[in-house]
Amino acid sequence: MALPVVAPGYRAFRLPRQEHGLEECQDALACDAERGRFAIADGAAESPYSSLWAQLLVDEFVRQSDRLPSWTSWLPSLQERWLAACGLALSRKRPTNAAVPWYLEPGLNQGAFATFLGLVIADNSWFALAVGDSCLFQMRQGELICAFPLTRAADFGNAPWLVGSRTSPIEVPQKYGLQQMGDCRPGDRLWLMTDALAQWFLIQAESGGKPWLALEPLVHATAEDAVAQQAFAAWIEGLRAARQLRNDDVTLLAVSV
Amino acid sequence: MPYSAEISRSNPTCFLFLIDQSKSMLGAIGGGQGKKKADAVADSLNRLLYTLVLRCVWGQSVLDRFHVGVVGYGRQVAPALGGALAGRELAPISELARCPLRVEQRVNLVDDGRGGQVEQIVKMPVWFEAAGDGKTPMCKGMERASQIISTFLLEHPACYPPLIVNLSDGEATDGNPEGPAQNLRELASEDGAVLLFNGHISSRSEQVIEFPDDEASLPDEYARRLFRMSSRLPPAMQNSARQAGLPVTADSRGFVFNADLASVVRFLDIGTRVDPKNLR
Repeated sequence: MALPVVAPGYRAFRLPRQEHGLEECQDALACDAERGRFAIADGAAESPYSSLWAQLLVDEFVRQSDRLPSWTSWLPSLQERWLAACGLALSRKRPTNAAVPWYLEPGLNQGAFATFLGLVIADNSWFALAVGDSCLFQMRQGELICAFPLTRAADFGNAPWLVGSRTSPIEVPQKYGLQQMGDCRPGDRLWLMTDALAQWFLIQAESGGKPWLALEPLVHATAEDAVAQQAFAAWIEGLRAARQLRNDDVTLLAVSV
Repeated sequence: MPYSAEISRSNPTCFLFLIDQSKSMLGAIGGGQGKKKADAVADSLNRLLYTLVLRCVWGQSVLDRFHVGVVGYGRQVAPALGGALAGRELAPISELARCPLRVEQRVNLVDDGRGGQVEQIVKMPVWFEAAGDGKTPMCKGMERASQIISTFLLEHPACYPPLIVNLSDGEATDGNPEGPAQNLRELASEDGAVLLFNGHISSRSEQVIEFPDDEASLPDEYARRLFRMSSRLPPAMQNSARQAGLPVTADSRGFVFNADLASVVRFLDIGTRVDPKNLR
């Protein structure tokens, strides 16, 4: 007899960098726990409308029905939607719009950019798709058993691979996007993090620490969500004050199988 | 560790440009009949200001991570921005973004994404017009810069050290500027000493040299003097320069000869950059 399918539980946190409001946060996340689909993205803030681009990416990935859709199948229509939302809908021709301030034009011409990490949990396995330095960590029985796509703290730089809203889907995402899968057991934790927190996590783990011990009570507490959010924000502020965490937007999507 | 302060709205740093506006700047680069040095400097400054503004674009706004000023030295030593910014020693970068003298439209050819090219109209702001009159009071220019930077440091004691960029043909007429330059470089925030970079536009040579680490390789005494006046690149800038393919060493100075300094703006670490590798 097949075991009943239980949707994975999750808790999501998203915080802007210091001095920035949540509306300025360039990170995005989306979840459909029933279908086991999760995604995070980190918009490159230098480009206009990059938070919109990051949100379009995660929402669309979660909506997709293919386990790991090919970039060429889902990116082009997403790029059209980004152009339309920016008021550049007329054509793919690069327009000069008198209403656009000169300093936004180069960014609009280049398009918006974001890292991307999508996760699908199905059939006692997980499948992930990544471009850039947003990371997935798999925990089992209190041990880190997988890190993807980056595995060392030294791998983080300030110029990660990015998915562009006006660049060809067969260039960066197709060529430099990475895929990974692994088995999944009840009790496993799958943590998706944008770069600042992911780098902190790997630095701690590499120096013999157990960063998951700090995260576990925050993300898997039974407390009401508002209480958990406050605790998470206070904990992040503490790490920033101790200069252990770069001042960057932080997203954590904690999934329990 | 010095040169590690975060550059942000609440802890901005300062860019001050010193521009040689003496009569000798009306001569041509390399001494020929080509582009005037004053025009090359104006183009270089406008490109630097353009790059600075773009580095502060965040979403749809411009964050005041920098305060920016331009001091000209020639017939007089005075703030040299015009229009709405006339007379200002420093202005927040968002004001600069809003207040160019004019925005020119240029036509560039860009890839159309289908293997061909298409004409694209690009908006290019102009803040600064070429000028050349009088002698070259570079020492006085350095002294004025020290006053402006001292005031900024009082207001922002923990800032990333201010950057001063001096663009000149190097032929000071009011003494040896190495002393005033040293006084300027000795100013410091809690994060390190002020950085003085020099861009030398020469009448004597058309050679291009970027971030040298040894004055012996330079073509004349004016270049060697400006080299000696220049700060070493901080380690983080060295790394960024190496990533950009420039062969810099630990002794490389913020000095360029017949080249522009827009690259130093890109070398500043103010968050994730959209690296050109992503633009394919």
